[in-house]
Formats: sequence, structure tokens, C-alpha cells
Amino acid sequence: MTLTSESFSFVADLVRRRSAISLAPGKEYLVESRLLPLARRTGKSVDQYIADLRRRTDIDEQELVVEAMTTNETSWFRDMQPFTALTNHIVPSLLEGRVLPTLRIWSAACSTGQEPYSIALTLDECLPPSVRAEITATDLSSEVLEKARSGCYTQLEVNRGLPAKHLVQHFTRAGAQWEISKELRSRVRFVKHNLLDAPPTGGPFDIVFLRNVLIYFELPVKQDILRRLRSVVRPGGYLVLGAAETTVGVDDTWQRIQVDRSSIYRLGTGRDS
Amino acid sequence: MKALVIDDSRTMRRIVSSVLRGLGYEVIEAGDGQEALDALQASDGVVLCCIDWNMPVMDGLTFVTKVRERAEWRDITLMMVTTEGEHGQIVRALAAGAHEYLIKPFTPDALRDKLELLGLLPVQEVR
Amino acid sequence: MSALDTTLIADPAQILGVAQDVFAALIDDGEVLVHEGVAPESFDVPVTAWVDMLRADSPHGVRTMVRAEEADAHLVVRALLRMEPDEPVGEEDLVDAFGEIANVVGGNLKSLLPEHAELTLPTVAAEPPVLGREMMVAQTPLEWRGSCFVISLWMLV
Repeated sequence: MTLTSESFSFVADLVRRRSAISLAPGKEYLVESRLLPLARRTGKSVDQYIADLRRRTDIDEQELVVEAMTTNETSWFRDMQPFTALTNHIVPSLLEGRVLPTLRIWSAACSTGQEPYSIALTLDECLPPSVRAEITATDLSSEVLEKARSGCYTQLEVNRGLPAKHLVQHFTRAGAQWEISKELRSRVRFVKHNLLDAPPTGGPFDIVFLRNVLIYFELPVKQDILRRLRSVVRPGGYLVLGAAETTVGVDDTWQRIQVDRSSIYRLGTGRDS
Repeated sequence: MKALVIDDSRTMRRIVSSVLRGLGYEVIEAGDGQEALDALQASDGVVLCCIDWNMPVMDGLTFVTKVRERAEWRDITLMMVTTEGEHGQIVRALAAGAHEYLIKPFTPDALRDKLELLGLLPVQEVR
Repeated sequence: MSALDTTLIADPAQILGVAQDVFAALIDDGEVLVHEGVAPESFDVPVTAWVDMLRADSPHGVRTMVRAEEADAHLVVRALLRMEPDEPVGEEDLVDAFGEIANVVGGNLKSLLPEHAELTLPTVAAEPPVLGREMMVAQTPLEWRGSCFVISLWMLV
């Protein structure tokens, strides 16, 4: 699944023309990672997707490519709200009146790992010592998973939304980079996975983070993904989506719960809703 | 909301101030820790200080220590904005009472992210 | 009285990485537009900015120097300060902004030293003072949007 130089040049050229942003050679991994969601919709590899795009003039699709390449969203604790919800609502709710030795979380489309590690950091602070957290983090791209597993981030990356207290407690400098502690890394299992396939192992899950992925799919595929997901989520388990996403109108087996300024979704317990 | 930007480099003050103003802040500036203390004394309503470490007259760490000694300034958020990027330096700053730490160089987004996690974005976007 | 251990920083790749981060973050909105360049034979109208890393117990400081043609220094200052393309760059702006680039590059390199050191305030002039026994330990020419900048590291003996 490697990007040809023609594909890379095409994208770099398109992006430069539309946004004045230059994509330097060496950023092939970025193109691969950013365009993966778009390519997924067509069932093709990123390279094939781009080759298709080159063969025809599709302004709308080109716009999506430019959009994907120019947003810069790989931050820690992205949007903050879901992690606050995790601490203040989801975890207390799941632990209420239950003995739960292990909490299983699935971070789907985890990219370079900031999300699952942010989840691990959040749980580190709010889980009682008797409860262990097991986080399964999945993504389609081997390259980003490789980086995520390494737990190594540049200074610019750790500047993005990572509280300083976490930086000093859980990271050490490794040359010009910052490396997450072995201990924290050990709490996340990174697995290559396609959302259109059967769910990954590691479940049944109590919590699923599926943020800013569904927006790239048409309704029937959204429903399909949520259905597959549902099969590995415990009754009463939670789903966390991106800020602009919802299951309302898509899948009514999830109950929408307003927490502060965002929504989380809970799977019916099967008893009553 | 008012912010105080403290850096002996006019360039860096301009960069930080411009991002803060873009986010809706009213910004006052100081060139060293002493000037900054004077500015805090003279102004009302400063909720955030962006503080460089290495400055003449009074450095950023000393400024942080002095601010944290005053009860009336207890609610001011203190964020270091500095090239000092060693693990030990960050520990020192947090121990002295700084709430957050932004390593230079930083992108405007990084500064914005820090403010978001501190709950200090003047208009928290409703998304 | 030992010298500062420059093993990690007297490395052109490391210097390039730091320069890329500095330019990308402060000037180019996160985009990496700095690449390895070619050092010119000489500069017609040079501008030089430098900061020194010093430790109390060591006489051997390490200087981080950034050098460019005056015209290129003006270009990067304009970009850093978000000035208009035809806005004149005053002496004060040049000294402050070009000095700040040396400050942030030098500061980041300093963080890579195994032991803590202090950083002097930046100085900007056409040429740095010649002490007689400086030794260059690394040189990294950079290319940024068509302009050339040379970052060099010197042991001050």
C-alpha cells in the first residue's frame, strides 16, 4: 500500500493550488494517513483512490482531499469534552454498584495514538486501583500504528493539547522527541483493523471511541459499522463520537445522553430504555 | 478577558499577543518579570499570563513564584511559554506554581489547544 | 572544567530537525518548508545572529549562529512578523526577530544537552566577534522558500 510519487505529486500540487500549503517530500505517510478515510469509502487503497481522482475532474472529491490534507487535528485530549465525560459520567456510571475488575475500551481509527493514550491518561486518574483498563486501539494504516506503538512524539506534537502535568509524569525526552513511559504504552494494544470487517478481539467493550470516522461514510455504511460495533459492546456500554456526529437518525439502539455541551451514547441494557 | 504576555523579545510578544487577540483576548505586554508584576498591580481582570523564562531584571520562574505568594492573584492562570524544554525545567516550573507549559516553537493551534484545556477560550465554540 | 557535551547537537540532521520545527511552528503554520540547502561561498551583506550556551563550571561555551544575506533575513523577519511584502524592515525589527530565531533554535538545541546550561540573550550584527580560538563543530545550510540560511555550532574556547 505504498504511495507512488505521481500520486504524491498530484496531491501536493492540488493542495498547493487550493490552499497555498506545501507538502514536502517525505510527507507521504501524512498523505496516506489523511486520505485513508476518503479512500476507504471507495474500497480502494489510497494510491488507487488518487489514481482514480487523477483520471477525472471531480471538484467535490478534490475539495475533500484538500480538506483532509489541510486540517491539523492530531492533538491530545481532542475537544476535551469526551475525556471530561469519561471521568465525570461514563466511568462512575459503569462502576456504579458493580464489581468490574477490567474495563475494556476500543479506540477505533486511533491514528498515531494520541486518542488511546489520552484515554489511558484519563483512566489513570479516575479509575480506582482495583479496576484495570485494557485499551484496544485500531487503525487501517500500518504506518501510523507503528508510530503509535513507539509512543514517540515530536515536541510540536506534545505541545498539542497535552497537559504539562501528564508530560512530566509520563514522558521522558528521547533526543529531540518525547517518549511515553513503557508502563503507559503497555496499557494500549494497537491492532490493524478495518471498520468494515468483523470487530477486533479485545472485547466485549464497555466503551468505544469512534470519533470523526462516520462522517466519511454514507448512511447505510454508517449503520453497518454501528451494527458491527454494537455486537461487541456490552449492554449499557458507551459510545463516544466526534463533536459533530450523532447516532440519532442512524441507529436507534443507542440512547443519547447530554453531558455538558456534548453527547455520549449508551447502548440499551435490554431491560428498559 | 484580559491576558498579560511577558517576554523580553518584542517579536515573541507580538506573536503570542496576535494569537490571543485573534481568540478574543484583550492583551497587555511586559518585557520582564518586574514590569509584569507592576502591570498586574495596575490592571484589573487579568486571567492569564503567558510567561517567558529567560528575561533580564526578573526571570519567568521568579515571577511565577512571586505571583503565587499573593492571595489576590490566586485565580490567575500562569502558563510558561519558553524554549526551556528539559524535563527537569518543566518540573521546576510546575513546582513553582505554573499551571501550564508551552514549549517554543509552538503553532497558533498549540496555544489555542492549551487555552481550551484550561477552559480559557473566551468563546468556547458550541459544536 | 569540562566542555559541554555537544555529541547530540553537533549533528546536521538534528540541527535541521530543530530548524524545521522552528520555521514550521512560528512562520509556516505547521507546514515544513525548510530543507537542507547549499552554503554559499560567502555572503555579500551578511546578517548574523547568535546565542551562547554557557555553564558556570565550564569556560567552553557553545555558540549557535544563524547567518543569511540581509535580503533573506528581511524576508524571514517579514514572515515571522506577518508584515506586508513591501513593508520595510526596520533595524529594531531585524535585530529582534532575526535574533529570536537564533534564540529559539539555540534554546531547543540547548535542551538536547545532557547537562543543563544557560542561554545568553541573542545578539545580531553583520559579523560575530572573533575570539581567535572558536571551533566550528557543525554547519547546516538550509533552504527556506528560496532563501538560504546557514546554522552553525561553535565551541568557544
